[in-house]
Amino acid sequence: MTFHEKSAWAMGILLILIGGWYVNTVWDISREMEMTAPPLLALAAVATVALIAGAVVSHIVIALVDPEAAEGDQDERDKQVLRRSGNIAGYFLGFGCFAGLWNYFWLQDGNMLFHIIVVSLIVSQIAEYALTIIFYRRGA
Amino acid sequence: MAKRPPITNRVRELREAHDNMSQSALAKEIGVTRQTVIAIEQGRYSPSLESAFRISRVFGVGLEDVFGWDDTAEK
Repeated sequence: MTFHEKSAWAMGILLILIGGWYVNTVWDISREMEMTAPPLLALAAVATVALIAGAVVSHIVIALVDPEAAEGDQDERDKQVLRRSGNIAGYFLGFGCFAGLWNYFWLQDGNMLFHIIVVSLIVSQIAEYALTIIFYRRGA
Repeated sequence: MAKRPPITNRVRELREAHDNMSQSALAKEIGVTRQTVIAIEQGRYSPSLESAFRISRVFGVGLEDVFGWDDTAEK
């Protein structure tokens, strides 16, 4: 398994857990308030710090397991896989932004727009990690 | 399943004929990772033209002695 595939596994799992927790918390707060929760800076900050800390720790572990792979640059296959997965993941983000804008156009709910954009970012990033793994295993 | 490229190769065969050269050693020679050499050998990845030339030069043979076109794969 390449360094980038290991990294995609670690970051994908981290993002599913932390992103899931973030979305679930916003959902619960919205239900309690009986309206779309406003953007919660403290919640976003906790999620961001947890994600960065998790990324640092997981990459240190990956580098310790295979230091040689961690030191190497991307080779031509890495570049091809990462470019293709990033390209397709961009469509997820674009679709989410488009859906958010249409939602705002019809409902005029800025809070919902914020959450849709955040969820789109999370989903597109998870898609990028998933596609990276698929392309490494099946060929890009 | 992703469609495999219709390119065959004899990298593994040539590597073994070359004093059983390791995948890591070949990878180092051509400037890719060992995983990329594995993917090439398994037919999951077609190398760039530059890497293909590098591989053939490592083994001291022509490009078409290493890589071939599988006509049946396109049918």
